[in-house]
Amino acid sequence: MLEVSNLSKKFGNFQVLENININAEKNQIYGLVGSNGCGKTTILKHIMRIYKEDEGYISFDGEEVLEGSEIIKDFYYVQDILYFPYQYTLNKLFQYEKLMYENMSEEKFQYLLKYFNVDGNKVLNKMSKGQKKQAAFVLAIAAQPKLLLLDEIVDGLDGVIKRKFWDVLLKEVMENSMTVIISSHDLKELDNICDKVGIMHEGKILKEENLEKMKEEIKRVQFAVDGEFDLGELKEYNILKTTKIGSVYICTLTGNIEDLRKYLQSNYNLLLFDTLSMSLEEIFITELGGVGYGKEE
Amino acid sequence: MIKIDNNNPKAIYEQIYDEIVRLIMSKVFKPNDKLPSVRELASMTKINPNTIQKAYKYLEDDNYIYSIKGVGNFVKDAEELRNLHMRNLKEELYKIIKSLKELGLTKDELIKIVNEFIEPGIEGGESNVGSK
Repeated sequence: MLEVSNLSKKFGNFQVLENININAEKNQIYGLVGSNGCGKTTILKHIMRIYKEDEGYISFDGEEVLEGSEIIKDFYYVQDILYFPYQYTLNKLFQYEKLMYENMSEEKFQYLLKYFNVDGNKVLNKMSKGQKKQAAFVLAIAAQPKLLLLDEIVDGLDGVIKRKFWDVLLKEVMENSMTVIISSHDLKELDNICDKVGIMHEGKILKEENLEKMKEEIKRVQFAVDGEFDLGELKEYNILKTTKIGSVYICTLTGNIEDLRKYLQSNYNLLLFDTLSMSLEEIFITELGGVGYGKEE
Repeated sequence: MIKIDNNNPKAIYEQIYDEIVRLIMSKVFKPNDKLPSVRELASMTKINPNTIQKAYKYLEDDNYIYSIKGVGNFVKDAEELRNLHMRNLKEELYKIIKSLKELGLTKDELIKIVNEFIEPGIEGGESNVGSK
């Protein structure tokens, strides 16, 4: 289990990270999502000890992760923008990384090369963005790390490859007790597949929660009643956002929906009442709307 | 095979549960058939394995399937399933009848609706609820 506690960091006068807390468990996929430039990559670089925090600490399986810690050898970080050594092919890079990662598996490497149909003899820097991502992912999985950090890995992959990617990742998470943190701004990709999600904005984590639970807590309803109606009556249902189209109200809320339905039913002639589901993307927009991001006015 | 509707307000694990029950009841999965493994289903639907596991756990709790450790999940015996499903459907029917009564339908009206469903057209043409 990876634990990031009260992590804060300033670059000059700019507060990039403020009081970050992350709890990512074994055998789970943790989705780190956030607006552009909110600090996702900076967090990952702290975990890898590329950056040093101003405050806070990071631990893995109860052991503090410090610069030079043995445990970092069990971490694998796939960066968003990939740079490979000059003239290196994937085969050559594999030979090199085998010296760095004890658990690097030749068998897995060969299998994944075939599965993704990646050319091990092609110079990495001549590959396309998507091919580079696949090459880096093949190495990451072959390394069999305990903690895998994937920064925007699905960005630039086509639909077929994305499928293969998730297939391999799920298998590894389930069978090899890996902890995975995956950052992305493509929320549709992460929806329903992450165990836990951390929603970030401007250097802070607004919310960290089990995704299923998040979806139980925040719901959307649409309803219409006969005659005059004042939304102020519904305060106790904790309505976050309302849109009115004609006589239909669409509300995002965290209150109890069944109670709301009963309230409306007993006080009005209720013409319409539907519960709508929320996607991760919609939850994200609602959370960020709560701090004033993306408001249209 | 398993349809997940992201616009459905039901939780994902409930949708998987319902889908598996549907496939069992329509005999796509026959008694003592092995169900797809959690990983197969996770990768097929792109749904978190722990969510699938949860659905399987509820299916087992509700007696639709049984699991053999290290081997997999299997569909239960046919007769048992039939009784179970009948019981569950009766419970649903009870809930619907209760809501209809809340809406003010009388016993006679309820019986009339049921009759129309069972033998469409017999009650005469003026209020053919549900029939063509």
